[in-house]
Parts: sequence; structure tokens; C-alpha cells
Amino acid sequence: MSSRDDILASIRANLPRVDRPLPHVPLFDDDKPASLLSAFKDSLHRMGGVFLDPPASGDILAPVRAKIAGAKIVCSTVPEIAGNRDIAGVAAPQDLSDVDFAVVRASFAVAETGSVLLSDADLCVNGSPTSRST
Amino acid sequence: MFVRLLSRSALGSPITQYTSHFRGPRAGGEMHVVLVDNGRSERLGLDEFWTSLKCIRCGACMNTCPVYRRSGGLSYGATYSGPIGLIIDPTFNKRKYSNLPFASSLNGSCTNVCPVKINIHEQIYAWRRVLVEQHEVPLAKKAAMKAAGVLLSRPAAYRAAIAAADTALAHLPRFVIYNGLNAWGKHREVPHPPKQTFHGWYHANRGAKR
Repeated sequence: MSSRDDILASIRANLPRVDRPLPHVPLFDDDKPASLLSAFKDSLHRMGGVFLDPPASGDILAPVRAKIAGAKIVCSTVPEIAGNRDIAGVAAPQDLSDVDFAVVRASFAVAETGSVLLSDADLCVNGSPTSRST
Repeated sequence: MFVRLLSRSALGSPITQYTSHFRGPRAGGEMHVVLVDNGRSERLGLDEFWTSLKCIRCGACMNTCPVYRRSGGLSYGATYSGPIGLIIDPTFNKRKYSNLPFASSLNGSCTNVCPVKINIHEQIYAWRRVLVEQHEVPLAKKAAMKAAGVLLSRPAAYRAAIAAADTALAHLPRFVIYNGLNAWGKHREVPHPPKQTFHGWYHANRGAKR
């Protein structure tokens, strides 16, 4: 018998003898925020994040370029912004320890929590600074 | 839902700093999930204690605990710390962690804040009974508990003993107080004895008015 079978058999033998109905789990989507953007900004701010407002000029990436202007090592996975560390040449996450800024594009954001989803394809290497300071 | 529950109960934040979601291996790679039983399935069969498996490790019980707030996370030498640790650790080794369930005032603060509603302080109390029944409590502790039980059930004797102890502490030479029998005094000073007990003060100042 494999250890997997051992564990499963032991769980079956020890299942709690309780007789109660499964709980009703709400979907939590009744009380939507009025504005998703301001809810996202508020939550991000609470978590210590900084939201860069797009300028009136129309170039929405201008504040990002200004932010990384003084940085020594920038790793970018976004085609519109050039970094000076090529992510394709990075073999292990720890090789990115000297990177000052990483620029990545998130797949989507969650307003209620001020969080963003960074998929493996977005990140390329799961170790760039953004994955630690979302 | 559990990520938000965890973060709210741990840091009071809307979500964790980062959360990794694993759906499958990278292209060309493999993904292995290793499940370790480590006595958990056996704990599932303990009527009084199986609900401790609901723990999501937020640490809310530790942050509210009047003991662990002072002593810090990894005190008392067990991997699982905090009030939840008091009820999990004995399932791994009853003898080694037999003292843990006794390090609680049973104030129930942990139970009040637990987001998954584990009755922690009731389980701490239940563990005391189980450990005594299974003779996992050291002899010295047993004797001390028995003596305390006798003393605490007789208020007059208790007050006389406290007064005697305070007088003794104030006058006995150091070598009598700090010796091998006084485990507390090995690393710290015994508290200064008060000149008067609260009961004595109350009797002198408020007792006459009643």
C-alpha cells in the first residue's frame, strides 16, 4: 500500500461523526463598490502601494518612465518600456536580486483588495521585485 | 475567501502581500504536490480536538493572547506557537508538550477572535484533563496542583499562606530563596513581596464601612 493510500484510509477511518447540513456560502457580490477604480485606489493605498495617475497629456506610461528614470537596473517585460536587464537571459530568480525596478503588465486587478494578478507569462521569472511588493 | 479571512485576521489588511496560485507545471516542467500526514488524520478522529484542523494559521489567537503577546511567537519550544499551538502540539508529542496546555489563564480571548471559530480555550482545558488521565503530567506539577487545590479551597488557609510567604520572602537570605528547587529564580529575580496583600488593604480601608 502506498503512503497515499495509507493517508486516505486513515482519513476515512477518522472522519468526524457529525451530522449537520453544509453551510450556506454567500457569493459576496451583493454590495459592489460604486466606483471600481476608486475602490482599487483606496485598497492599494491601504496596502502601501502607490497609484500613478495617468497625465492629461495622454501618455499613460509617462509617470512610469519618470519613476524609473534614476534607477540603475531596470527589468521590463513591457514592450513599450525598455529596461537594461534582459529577462530572457535570467536563469534563476536570485539573479534578479540587484534589480531596482521591474515593469510588468498585470492580467487584471481586483478592486476590493487593491491587488493585481501576475501570471507566469506576465512575470517571466517569479522573483522579480514586483512579485514581492505588489 | 480564505485569503481575505487570513489577511484580515492576521494584519487587518484587505489581502496578503502576495499569494502564489499553482495550477499546473510550467511548460516542459513537472509539478509535485507532497502531502504530509504527520498525525493529522489521527487528530481528525479525536472527538474533542479535531476542529483544531480548521486552523488557517492567521495568528489572531497569538496576537490577542495576554501570555503570547508578552512572550513572543516561538517561546515554549514548540513549532506551532500561540494558543492554537497549545492544542496542536500535544497531538504530536503528549509528553514533550504536556506543560503547554497549563500555560493559559483560560480567558477565552483566542476563541473570541478565531475567524474559523475553533473553541481554543475549551480545548486547552480538555487537554489538561486528557494529559492528567494519561499520566503525562510531571510528578512535581501534579503535587503542586494538588497542594494548590487544597490551599485554594480554604480561603483562610490561603490568606495565611500568602502572608507567611510574603514575610518569608522579605526576610529569608538569598541562598534559601534561590536554589535548585526554585526554577523561576534561575534566570530572574523573584518579585518583591508587597507590605500588605490586597485583601488586607481592603479589610483595613473598606471593610469597616460594610
